[in-house]
Amino acid sequence: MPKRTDINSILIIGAGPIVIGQACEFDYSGAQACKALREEGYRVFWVNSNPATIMTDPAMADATYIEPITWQAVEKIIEVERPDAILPTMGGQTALNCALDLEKHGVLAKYSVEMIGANADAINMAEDRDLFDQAMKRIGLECPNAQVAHTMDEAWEIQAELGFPTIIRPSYTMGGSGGGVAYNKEEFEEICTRGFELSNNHELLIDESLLGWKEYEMEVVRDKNDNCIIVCAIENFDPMGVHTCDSITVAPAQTLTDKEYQIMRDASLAVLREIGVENGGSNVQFGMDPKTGRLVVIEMNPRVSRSPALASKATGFPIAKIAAKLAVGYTLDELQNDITGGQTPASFEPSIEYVVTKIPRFTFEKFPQANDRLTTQMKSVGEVMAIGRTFQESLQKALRGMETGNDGLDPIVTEFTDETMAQIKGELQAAGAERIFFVADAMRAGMSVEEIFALTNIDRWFLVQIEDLVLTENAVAKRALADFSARELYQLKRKGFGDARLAKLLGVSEKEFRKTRQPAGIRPVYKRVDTCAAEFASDTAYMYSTYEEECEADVSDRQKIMVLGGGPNRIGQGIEFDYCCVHAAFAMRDDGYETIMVNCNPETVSTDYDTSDRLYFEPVTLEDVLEIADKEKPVGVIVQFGGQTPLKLARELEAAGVPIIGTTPDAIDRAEDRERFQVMIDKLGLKQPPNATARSFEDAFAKPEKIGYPLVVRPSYVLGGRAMEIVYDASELENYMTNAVKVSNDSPVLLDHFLSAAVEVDIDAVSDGQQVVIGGIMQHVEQAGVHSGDSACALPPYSLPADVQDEMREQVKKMAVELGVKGLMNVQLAWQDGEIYVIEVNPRASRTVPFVSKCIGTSLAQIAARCMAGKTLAEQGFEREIVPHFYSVKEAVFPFNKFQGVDPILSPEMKSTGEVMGSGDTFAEAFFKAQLGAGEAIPALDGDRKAFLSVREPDKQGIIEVARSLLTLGFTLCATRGTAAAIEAAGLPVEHVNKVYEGRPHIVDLLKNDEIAYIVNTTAGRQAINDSSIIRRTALARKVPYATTLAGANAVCMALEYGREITVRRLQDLHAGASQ
Amino acid sequence: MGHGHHGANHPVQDLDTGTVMITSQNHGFAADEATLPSNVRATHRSLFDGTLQGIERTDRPAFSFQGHPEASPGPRDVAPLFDRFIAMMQARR
Repeated sequence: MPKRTDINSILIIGAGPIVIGQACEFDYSGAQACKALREEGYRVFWVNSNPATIMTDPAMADATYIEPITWQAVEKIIEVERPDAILPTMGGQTALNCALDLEKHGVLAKYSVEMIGANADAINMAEDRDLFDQAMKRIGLECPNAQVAHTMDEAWEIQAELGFPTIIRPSYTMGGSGGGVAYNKEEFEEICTRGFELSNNHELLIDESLLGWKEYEMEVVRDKNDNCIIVCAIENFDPMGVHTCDSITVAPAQTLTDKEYQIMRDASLAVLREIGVENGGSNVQFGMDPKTGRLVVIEMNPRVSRSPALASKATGFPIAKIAAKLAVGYTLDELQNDITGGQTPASFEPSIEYVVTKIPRFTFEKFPQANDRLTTQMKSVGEVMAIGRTFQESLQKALRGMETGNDGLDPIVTEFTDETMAQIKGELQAAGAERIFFVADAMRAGMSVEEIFALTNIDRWFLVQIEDLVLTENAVAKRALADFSARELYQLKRKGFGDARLAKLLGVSEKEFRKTRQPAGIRPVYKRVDTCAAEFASDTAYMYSTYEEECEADVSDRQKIMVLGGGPNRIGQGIEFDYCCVHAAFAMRDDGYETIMVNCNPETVSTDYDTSDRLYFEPVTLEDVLEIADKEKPVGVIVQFGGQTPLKLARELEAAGVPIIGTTPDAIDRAEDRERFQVMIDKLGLKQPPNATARSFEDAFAKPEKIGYPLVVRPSYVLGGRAMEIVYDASELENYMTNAVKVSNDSPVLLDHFLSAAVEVDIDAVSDGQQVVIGGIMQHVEQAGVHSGDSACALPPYSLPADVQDEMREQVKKMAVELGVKGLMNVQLAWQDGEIYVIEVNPRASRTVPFVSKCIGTSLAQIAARCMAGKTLAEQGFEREIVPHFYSVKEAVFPFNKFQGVDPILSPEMKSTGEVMGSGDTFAEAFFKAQLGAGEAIPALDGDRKAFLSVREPDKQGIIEVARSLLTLGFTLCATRGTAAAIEAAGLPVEHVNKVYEGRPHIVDLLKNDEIAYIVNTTAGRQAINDSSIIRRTALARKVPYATTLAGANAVCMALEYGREITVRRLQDLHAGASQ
Repeated sequence: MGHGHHGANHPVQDLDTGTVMITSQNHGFAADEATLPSNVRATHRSLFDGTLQGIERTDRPAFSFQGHPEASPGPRDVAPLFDRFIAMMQARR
């Protein structure tokens, strides 16, 4: 049966900002779905608050709304656009919850909008633990022995039945938010209390513990005629107890017999049928008791999510695209899989002749107070995927693609003492981010596979594979490079060992090793990912490397541009950079080049097989990039769009003769190297905050005399403000130098005078080497000292005088010309007491490029890519800055609620995972919508409302204005002593409240009693921050809105004065007016 | 055949019900549907290349399927053919 003709227009709900549990895989699936539906002639509308997505590019849909994903905002959009149908399965839990809200509030019925892809009943049955449990019983499948609790008393009763350890999971949350494993009564109470608060319907599922069981995921697609196929079976390396997204996973399943696999296959089909997913993709998770083979269904997700994205990349089967077509009425037998050029039907179940390994990436170093053990609550922020012909090869490729400084199974523990053995055993038993390395270390220490199995429950098959790698490494380390025959080196490469790892073991440089390997003829070949294990020819160039005989790369002789991607997502380098890479590929393809993408992040649009002409799914390391460049011989390689990952390869690639286009690696170094940068600033007659570089501990204390406290201190060459702090005096500096960094001649520490209360500005510009055009000026809402990635910002600036903006434009242009920028450049400036200071210059794509592009309606990344390939700005017709006539605000989104005990204060170290955008006629409206989109609660303006104010000394003057606004808005005020005195002195009414150490009742008591509706709390200095962190942590836990900067509090007041009215606007309409 | 069928993932459609089944196959020859005698009708076709995968006698209780419904290794989607065969035997008893 062909597609439905009774619907013409479809609204797709996006996933919103990147958070832990919902990352750019939804951009990937959404973009695919959108393309698929428009291909069929449907009108497609988008709503998504995340500007850094390809799906929200204005050309992707017939109408795009960058608006908060709340049912109220979406209702407004429905009212305007009158879609026939709504597709909620492409935007993760956010979209599903929003769709359910729309249904519940009668919006869908009122405007006769049909939900397609999944229906409310199916979603409810899959998500409601009780209903799901019953459904599974009906089809003879087991769920974990579990019961639902709605009150703490019920929870205790259930616990008594199940014993410890107990697994606790709240209903309707994503990424296992608020869930956990309780081993004792205290933990049980804590996790349950938290879970009740987080669950949409105040409901917890309390499960028997399946810790140590084998865990599997099946990706299933089903059409309305009940045809089903399994796209992929994924096996977890880490057994049950670690969230599947935090587990190392492998596809296809490695340790099942055909019988076991077929039982699981049949079971997953039965689950889809019973739940009633009629047309779309779902995933079903299973646990299997390794002792008895007992199989239980853990859960199923009736939507496209993270693992289907992984499965799509792992098999080449575009789940989101097919699911979108099934949602509009096609059946599997009517669709072709275009990865084989239509040679195979979509009903052809993918089979693969390689092994895929995914490893999650964590950033616990950003949240030192967080519990870094892996549990049922997801904590990873990104992932890397690698493809190899064997598990060993794909594992080792994934390890070096992670960019955590490892080239393979590098040791963590080098000396085996009682103490380190205890550490190793502890790490094996309670998994942290680096468990796999400790497994290898345990083997080096002589522990047997059985001993390690007893502690980890990792299947012995995997352990034996790792043991073989460790034994091989031990043997290699005993010999010299010259002793190896070509045959032996070839065998090592077949096991996936990276050049860098082998070089380290052999005590030679990576280059030396490469110079031995390559002349011996040991070079990778490239195989294609084609869904059919090479049974049929594939003309899609989606490739991975391996060491074998036959190469399927089939290289063309066209002019090629190669784009290097950013690798796994992490805080500081995420979807924004992928967005730029994708746009570079689009622009270069349009200009007639053959485009080649190299990346290893399975969540992204860049690794979709049709984003570029050719996709190499490979680690972005020197070895792997050099081999591809040598095979393809591109005329240009773009390194400045993928963030720090490709950038740090630039010099070595250039030295090896790879043609880097755009801004030269030397110019990039001129901007990043402090001393060279200073020379340039002086030459141009610009200003920098007083600064110095310390190369030793003593050095660091000699410098501040000249610079003056407070200081911003940080190690050189970092992204995302890693280990960056503000210190106010010598004792804090000492603390920092002792605890936070290791200073040395090679890794100096940078000291800058901190510009207190300065206005910070981000500027993105594009240059062709001659002409420079400003992309956008963004004024930060938070003052200097908050990492630019964490600060809200407004485009155009909302309070920066026009002449200051003009002067800033001039300065940026001067620097771009001086550096010879060809492509993008990002500059951070600060304005304090009438002076402009240059904080930082980055001649590369920045985090704000997608936001700016959405604001001005022009893709800066595309223009920059064309500049790099040699087209001037004049030739491209982009010679004038576009200043929009509306305001847009970008707000950062933080993962604090995933990390219990973390202080949510903003600092120079970046902590946000994602961003949202809000637009409006005024700054206040835009800011309000951005807050709404970010899920930051804006205090409600009803009932008795009391605001608590406590600010640091320099803010005592500024708080008065905030206090006055709050009073006008109907708040009553309470404040700590010093702040209260300042407010009283201005003649405003305020109550006193104790600080925590001043005796009870104190502010935390008031918070816990729900007496406070809004908090403004600014602090400075390590001690004061520590003292007050309990206030912010309590506010976070009690969901009380808070501001940790004065500027943030001011903006919130402006938003409150604006009101709560939401006006929705088409991005396309905004842009049409923008250039006027 | 232009290209044989080898794998555990081949989609075959039951022409009477429209059902798609994923099957195990390993063959390089197929009967040409156009040459079937009048007392034999096509019951299954490959969704990959449209070749004939199943036939049935219209005058006798007999049918055949090309592929591996016993499927080890492979999916068990075609297993119901055995039920049908057993049902036919029982009906004749």
